[in-house]
Amino acid sequence: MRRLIIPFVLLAWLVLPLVFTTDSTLGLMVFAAINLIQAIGLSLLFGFAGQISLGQAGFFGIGAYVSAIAATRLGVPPLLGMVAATIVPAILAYLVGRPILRLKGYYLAMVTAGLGLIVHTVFVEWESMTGGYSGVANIPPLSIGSFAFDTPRAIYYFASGCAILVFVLAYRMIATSYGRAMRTTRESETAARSVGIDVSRLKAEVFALSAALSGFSGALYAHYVGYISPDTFTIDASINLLLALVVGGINSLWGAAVGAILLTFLPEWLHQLQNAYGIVFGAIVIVLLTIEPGGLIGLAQRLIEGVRARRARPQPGAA
Amino acid sequence: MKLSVDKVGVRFGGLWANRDVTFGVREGSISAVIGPNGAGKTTLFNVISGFRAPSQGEVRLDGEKVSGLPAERIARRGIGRTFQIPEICHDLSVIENVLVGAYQHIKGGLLGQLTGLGGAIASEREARRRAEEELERTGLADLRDQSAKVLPLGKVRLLEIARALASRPSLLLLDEAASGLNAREVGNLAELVRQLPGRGVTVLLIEHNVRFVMQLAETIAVLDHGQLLSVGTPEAIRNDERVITAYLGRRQG
Amino acid sequence: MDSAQLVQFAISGLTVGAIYALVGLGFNLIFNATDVINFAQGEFVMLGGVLACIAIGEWHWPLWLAIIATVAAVGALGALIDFGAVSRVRNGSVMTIVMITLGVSVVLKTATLLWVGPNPLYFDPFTAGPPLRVFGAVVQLQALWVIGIGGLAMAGLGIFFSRSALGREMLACAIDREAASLMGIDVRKMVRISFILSGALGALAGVLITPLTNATYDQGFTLALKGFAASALGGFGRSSSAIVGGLALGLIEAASVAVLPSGWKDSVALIVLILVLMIKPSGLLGGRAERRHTQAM
Repeated sequence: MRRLIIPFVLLAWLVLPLVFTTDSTLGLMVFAAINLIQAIGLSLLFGFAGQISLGQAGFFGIGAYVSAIAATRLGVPPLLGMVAATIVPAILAYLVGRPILRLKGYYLAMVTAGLGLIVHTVFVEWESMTGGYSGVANIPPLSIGSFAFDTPRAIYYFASGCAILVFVLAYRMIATSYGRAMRTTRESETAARSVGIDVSRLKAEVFALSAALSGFSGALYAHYVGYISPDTFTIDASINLLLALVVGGINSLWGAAVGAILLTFLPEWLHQLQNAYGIVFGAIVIVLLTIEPGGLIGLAQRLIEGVRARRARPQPGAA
Repeated sequence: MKLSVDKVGVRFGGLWANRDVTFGVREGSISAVIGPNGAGKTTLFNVISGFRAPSQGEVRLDGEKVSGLPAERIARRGIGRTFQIPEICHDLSVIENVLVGAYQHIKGGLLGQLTGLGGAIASEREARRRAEEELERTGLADLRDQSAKVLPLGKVRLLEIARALASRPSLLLLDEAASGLNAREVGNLAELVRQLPGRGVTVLLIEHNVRFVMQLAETIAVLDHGQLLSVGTPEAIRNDERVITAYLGRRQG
Repeated sequence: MDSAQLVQFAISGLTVGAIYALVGLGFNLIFNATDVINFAQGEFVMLGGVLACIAIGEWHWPLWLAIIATVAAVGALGALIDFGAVSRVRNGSVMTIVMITLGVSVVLKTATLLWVGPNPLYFDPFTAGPPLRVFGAVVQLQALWVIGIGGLAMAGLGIFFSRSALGREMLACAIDREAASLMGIDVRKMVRISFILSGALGALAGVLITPLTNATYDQGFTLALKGFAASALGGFGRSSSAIVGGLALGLIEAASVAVLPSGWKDSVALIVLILVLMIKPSGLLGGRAERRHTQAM
C-alpha cells in the first residue's frame, strides 16, 4: 500500500485542478501548499530535531519582504528574488541559531517568539524600506522567462509541485544519516555528542533549513497575493502554525501535511463561524492533546494498532 | 590507543569529585576503574570523554592533550563510550541506533546523502554492513528492526555498546555495562569485551561487578572519595589492604 | 538628565515594572507547581482589564466590586484550565501541556474578540484628580495605585508563603514534589491553587494598568513575553527574583524611550531577555530552578 502513495499523490496533484475549477478553491490549495512548505520546515526543526520555534512567521515575513522589495524596487526577476528570499532567512537563522539554540524548552520558545516580534517591529518601523504599516503593493506574479504564473491554476501547479518536492526530500532526509543524527539529538544530545555529532552546528543548520523553507513560502505568498503588510507576519501566525503542526502530529511528516490542510481549510469549513473559528481551533488543540499528544496522526496510529491487536486476538492457538 | 590521565581534578563548588588522579591505560589492554558509589568514577569518565572539563590536570591520548575539547571532538579522536543511565534514541529502530554511531563515517553531508553523491551511498552501505556485524556480536541481530523503546535494560546496554563500536573507536569507555544484565548476558558481554583488543580497541571499564572486572582487566585503578587509592593487577588489588578496607571490605560487610 | 526627568522615568518604570512583576509571579506560581510555563498567562492580564472595563463601563458596577469580581472570575478561570485540561493530560510531556496552554490562549483571545470587538477598552482611574507634581515630575494618581496595590499583593503573597500552612505546603511542593507528596501534601490541590492564584494575580495586574494603557483582546502575548523576560532577568523559580526582575525591566524600558523610537519599546524587553539568557541563563540573580527549567522538554 505504501508504494501506491506517491503515484496517488501525483495523480491527485494533476487532477485536482480539473475537479475544483473555481479560482477560490484553487487559491486555497495554493495557500495549503505554502503552509505545507512551512509546516515541513517546522516539523523537521521541532518534531525531528526537537527545537521549538515560535518565530517562524518572522522568517516567512523576511522571505516575503526580500522577494517583494527585490521585485518592486530593484526589478529583480521574481525567480531570482525567491532564491534570495530562501537564502537570507537561512543565513540570519544560522547566525542567530548558533547562540540561541543552546537554550531549551520554554526559553527557546520565548526567545524565538521574541525574535519574531522584533522582526515584526522591523517591518513596521523601517518604513523607508518596508513601507511600514501600508506594506508593499504591486508585487509582480512569479515568472520564468516570459511565462508568468498569473492564473490560479498555473500558480497552483507551481506551488503544490514545490510542496510535494519538499515533502519527498524531507521524507528522504529523515532516513539519512543526517536525519538519524537529528532524531538522536532531539532525544539525547549527550548520546549524539558521544558519537561525534556536533549538536550545536546541527541544530543551527536545521534551524536555518526551517527558516529557508519559511522564507521560500513567504516569497511564494508575496508573489501570489501581490501585496504584503506586517499584519500577516505576527506572533499569532507563528502560534497557529505551531499548533496546526502539533494537531496534525509532531512525530511524522504526514502530521505536517494534516496540519497544513487544517490551517488552510478549517477557517473555510467553519466560515459561518467567522471569527469564532479561533475558539474551535483552540478547543481542538486542547481536547486532542489532552487525549493524544501525538496529534491526529498519533490518534490514527493508535486506532490502527488497536484494530490489529483485536484482530490478532481471536486466534491464540496460532502462537 | 594509549590514554594518560595526569593529575586530574574536578571541583563542584567546594567539593572535589576527583583529585589528583593519575593513571595510564596501555594500548590494546583492558583496564578498569572501580570504587564505591560516589567515588567519582563517572565524573572521571566524563572528563576523559570531554563531557566535563577538568578543573586541574589533563587527559592525553597518544601523548596529545585532549582535555578541554568538546565531547564531539574527542569522540572524533576515537573515544567511544556508553552511559551508566543509557542514552539511546527511542524513536529509532535498533539498527538505526547502531547506525547513529557510524555518523562520522557516513560521507556526503546532508546534500550528498539526499542525492547519493559524495560517497554517501557506499559509506552508508559499509556502515550498514558493519552495523549488522555489531548486532551479531552483541546478540541483538534478531531485534534489528524493533523499535528501541521496547528493549529491556540489558539489551539497551548492549545496544549502546554496539553503537559505540559502530563509531570505530580506538578506546572504548564502558560505564557499568554489566549492571542490569542477567548471568548469561554478563558472560556474553565478558566474551565480547575480551575480543575487543584483538580488533584494535582498547577498553576501559567502570564497574561495580567486581568479579566481572577481576576476570577481564589487566590493570585496575581503585578510586575512593575522588582520589586514586591504588593501581595494579587484579592480583595486587585483591591483596591490597587499603582497597580491602575501603571498598571490598565495605561491600562484603 | 535633570532630577525631574529622573523621577519621571523612575515612576513610570516602577509602574510598568510592578505589572511585569505580577505577571512574572504568576508564571513562577504555576511553574513551581507543575514545571510548566503557562503561555496563557498574558491572557489572564488581558481578561482582567477587559472584564473590569465591561463591569464598570457597561454594567455600571462600583469599582471595588468590579475589581473583586474580576480577580475572582479570572482566578476561577485558572482553576477551570487546570480542571478541564492540564490535570487530564495523560501520557504527555511538559511540552504537550505547554501546547495546551497555547491553545487556551487562542481560545481566550478569540472569545474576547467576539465578545467586545477589536477596539481598545478603557475605564477611569481609581481616583479622579489632577496628576501630582513630585520634584517637578508629573505623576498620574493611577501610577500610585498600581505601585501601591501591586506592592501590597506581592507582600501579601510573601506573607502567605512564609506564614500560612497552605503557603508552606505549596513551597514544599515547589522544592520537591515527591518528598512533599510523601509527607502527605495533596500535590494536585497545590497545583489547582497555583492556577487560581496565578489567574488572580494576572487579573489584578490587568485591572491596575488598564486605566493607564487601555485593554485590547490581543495584548496578552506581549505581556506574557515581558513577564517571562522579567522572571528570566531575576532568575526563574523565586518570587523575590520575579519582583526585582520586573522592576528592573520596567526601568530599562522606561529608560529606552529616551534613546529609541517609541515603536521599539516592546522589543527592548525581548532584547534584554535574549541578552540575559545568552550571558547567564540562570538569570542575573541566579534562580535555583534554572537547571530543571532549561532542561525541561
